[in-house]
Order: sequence, then structure tokens, then C-alpha cells
Amino acid sequence: MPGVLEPYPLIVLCYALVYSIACLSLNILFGTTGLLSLGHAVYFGAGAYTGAFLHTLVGMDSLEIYLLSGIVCATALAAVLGYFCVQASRMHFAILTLAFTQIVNASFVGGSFFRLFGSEGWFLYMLAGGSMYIPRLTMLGIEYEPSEFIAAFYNYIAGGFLVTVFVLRRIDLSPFGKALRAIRDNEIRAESIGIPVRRYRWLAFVISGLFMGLAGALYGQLNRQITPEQLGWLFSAILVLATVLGGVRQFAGPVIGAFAYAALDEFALHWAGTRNMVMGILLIAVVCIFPMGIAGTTVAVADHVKRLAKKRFQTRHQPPLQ
Amino acid sequence: MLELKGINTFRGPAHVLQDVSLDVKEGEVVALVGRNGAGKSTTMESIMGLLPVKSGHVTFHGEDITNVPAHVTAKHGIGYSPEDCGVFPELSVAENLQISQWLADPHRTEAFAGDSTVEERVFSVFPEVRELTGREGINLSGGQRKMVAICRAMFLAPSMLLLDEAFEGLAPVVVNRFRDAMIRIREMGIALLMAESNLAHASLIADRLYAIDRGEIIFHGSPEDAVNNEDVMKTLRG
Repeated sequence: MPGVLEPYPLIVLCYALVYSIACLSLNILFGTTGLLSLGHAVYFGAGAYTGAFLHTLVGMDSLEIYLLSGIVCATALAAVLGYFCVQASRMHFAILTLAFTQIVNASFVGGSFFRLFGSEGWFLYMLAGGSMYIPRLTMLGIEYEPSEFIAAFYNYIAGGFLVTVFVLRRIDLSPFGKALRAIRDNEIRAESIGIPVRRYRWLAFVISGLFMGLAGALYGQLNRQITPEQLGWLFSAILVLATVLGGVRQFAGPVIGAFAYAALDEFALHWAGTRNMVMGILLIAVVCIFPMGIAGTTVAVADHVKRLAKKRFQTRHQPPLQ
Repeated sequence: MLELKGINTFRGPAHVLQDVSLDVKEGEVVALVGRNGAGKSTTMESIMGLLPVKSGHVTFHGEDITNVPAHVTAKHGIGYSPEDCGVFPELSVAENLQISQWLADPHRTEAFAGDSTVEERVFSVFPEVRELTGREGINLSGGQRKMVAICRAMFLAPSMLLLDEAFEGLAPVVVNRFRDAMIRIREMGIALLMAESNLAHASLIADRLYAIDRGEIIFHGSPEDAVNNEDVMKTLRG
């Protein structure tokens, strides 16, 4: 891709792939398990911030450590917060995830988290208002020139995307994935056939947090500037929106949704002053055209066409009445 | 094998089960008969751990399983086919069955399969389910859903099955088909506790029968004795 695309389209593609990872990880909880999380920005933010802190506080400059620390922190956070969230279902679950997001967001925006790092942490917060700058980190110990950086970093993003697709697809097709879908369909009946509903929900939450951490860490290095907005419920809502846009019941739906969202966002950029309004109108139009999400509606239309064709074929080849 | 000793269960503020006691022995078929709202499903759900038992005890193979979570009860070897069947609508029949097979205890599965395979044993009860494996749960008829629910419970290799209204809504021809299936299940050594609102259906197969009304056991004996007991018949007819 780096050889085919100009730098700017390549950057847009990188963002779309990062959002795809985030939406895929959200969907294992939302589309597969039936739990709407309004707080996944927390794990995305944890993935982005952890390495940034390591860089600022101890001078860490390795991209690999940046990614790994982000993933570990997001997974640990998801394991702890998820334990409490999965005690509830449906709307109560969504409210709990939202509440935890607000707590973590307040810690960062309000700065209480930064106080834990003493005067240095507080100084950082006062300096940047919770935003952090991440320089171009080394990849496998190699320091890339700014002109070559994005092409090299693309490989990490593409690799992360492929690993996410591979692992989540394997989970989706496994008995565990089917058990998650059974929980989504009817949690009481799922429990009565032997599925430990809360444990499986928690596992789905942790897996989701892990990949959300990966997306956040990749985003941090791609954007090189991270702000508390990446921990807010509004960002969580954007991820939900992109996932729904693509279709939550098809595995490829979140990827399609992320790409569609990135494309619409790019398109709306042409109207800088009224960007949000244009984006809103475009989203309404897409949702009206694809009520079951882009992937869901496409599959439904294809099935309908197939049924019609079959019916027509049967009518044509019906033996004449005697 | 399964014993309920004076259990009391509430649904919200309503005291539904009042000192309900019953027992099911190894390989036995026991029916729990009562009108709608008598407490049959509540009894089933109390055994499974889907409803909290306020007082009393549920024991299975001598082990206290009172208020044990439903997934643990299922792992103990109690299969459950609920009144609404609980077939997952967006999963195919094959996927519905695979989940149980995957969750089943390997040792019990091995013992249950014997010389053949679990699939062969289960599909020998309802061979027609084999033809349905590619279909989604949502596209099944009522009778097919009941068959799939029973097969799914059997894939857990249970030593006991709880069947809630297994005959309800079935055409007379299909009722006979289900009776034969129950006989086949009993021959496999699996005990059955069936909740039934129709005494005639329960009498087709039950060794013993409990009649329940307003959350209390009002009769215990053979199906023939129940039919000959005017009070029981009057209560069941409403």
C-alpha cells in the first residue's frame, strides 16, 4: 500500500484501519454478546496514554513497548471494570460502562490521575491540559526519517488489523463465540444449558478491551497527539455509531462501518465551517438507505434477490398443468 | 436421585411454591401435573437455580444443589427443556446443539455414548432433528423447537431431564411420536421429571405422578390413582 498510495491517502487508510480494529473489538461485546458499551473509549484511551506516560516519565522510545504497554494496561483495566459491568445486563450494563467512562474521564480531564505522579505529573497536566505529545518512536530499534515513517508504521497497523481479524474471526466461529451469541439471544436459557453467562461476558469484555487497547496504542502513535477526548463517552458513541453503520450482525460489518465513517468524515472536511452538520446529514442518509447497517442490508437484499431468482426459475420450469 | 424437601419459592412478592416436596428415582419418569399457574414451571426453575429458593433443600445424587447457579446445575447432569423451548433463534440447529456438546462434561459424555457416539444416541430419539441441523432456530415450527430443545439438553449427557410442557400444543399424531421418544429416553437410563397440564399426556408415560395446585402438592401416586381420584380430577379440570 505505501508504494501505491500517496502519503495523505495512506494516512487516511491508517486511520480507517485503526478505527476498524476498535469497531471489531467493540462488536464482540455489542453485536456478538448483545452488550452495548458506552465506555470503550476508556480502553482506547488507556492504550494511547500508557505508552505516552512511559515516554514522558522514563524516556521510553520503542514503538513495540509503547504498543505492548498500552495493550496490557487496557486489558487490565477492562478486566477490573468489566468484572463490575457484567454483573448487569442490557441498559444497566450500558449505564455502568458510561459511569466508569465518566469516572476515568474526570480523572484525566479533572487531572486527579496526574496528581498521583507527584509534581511532575501535575506539571504535565498543567502544561498540556491532559493532552500528550508522542514523538515518532523507533520500530525494532530503527529510527525512521519523517518522510519514511508512515510507510513503515503502516506495516504495524496492517499487521495489527490482520491479527485482530484473525483472532476475532476464530472466536466468532468457535463454540465460545456461539455461546456468546446464545447469551445475546436469551441469557436465562443460555445459563440453563450450562453456559456460565457472567464469566463468558467478562471474557468477551476483556478480549474487547485488549483489542481496543491495541487500537488506542496504534492511534496514539499515528495521531502523535492524544487528548482526554479519547477517553470520553462521545468517542465511545462514535465507535458505536460506526459499528452500527456497518452492521453489527455480520463479522465484516464493523470494518465496513469504520471505513464508511472515515470516508464520510473525509468528505465532510470540505465544509470546514459546517462539518458536523454535513456529517450528521450524511449519516442520516446512510442510515435511511441501509437500515440494517451497510453489511446487514446488503446481505438482506442479496438474499431477497436470490429468493426471487429461485422463485422465477421454479415458475418457468414448472410442468404444464394436465 | 433428585429430592425436593419443603421448598418455598417466591416470584417477586408472590409466594408461589409452598413447602413443595417430591423425589425422582434413578431411571424413573415422574410427572408434575397442574393447571396453568399452579407452580409447575416455578418448581422446574427452582430446581435449575433460575429462581432463588427461600427455604427448603434441593438435592441431586445426595448433593445439595439449592440455589446453585443454573449453569452449575446443568453441569451436575440435569438437562432442562423449558416451556418456551429456549432455542436460540439466530443460531442454526447445529450450533444450538454444538454449544451443549461443547459444554458437556467429557467423562459423562463418554459414559453416555457407550459403544456408539453421543450424536447417534441423541438422534436415535428424534432422527428428524438430523435433517434440521442447517436451519436457523427462528425458522422451526413449535414441535421442531421442542425436539431441538430436548436433543440439546441430551447433548449435555444428563442423568436427568426436566421437561416443561413437552406435549403442549402438539398435534395428536405428534404426541404419540413424543411419547415414543420419552420411552426411548427412559430406556437410556435417563430419569425424567415432566411438568404437564394435561393429565392424559402425563399418564402416557409417567411411573408416578404429583399433582400441584396453588403451589402445594395435593396428590402423589400412580397415574391410575390420580384418574380415579375425584378431588384431583376436579382440581385439574378447574
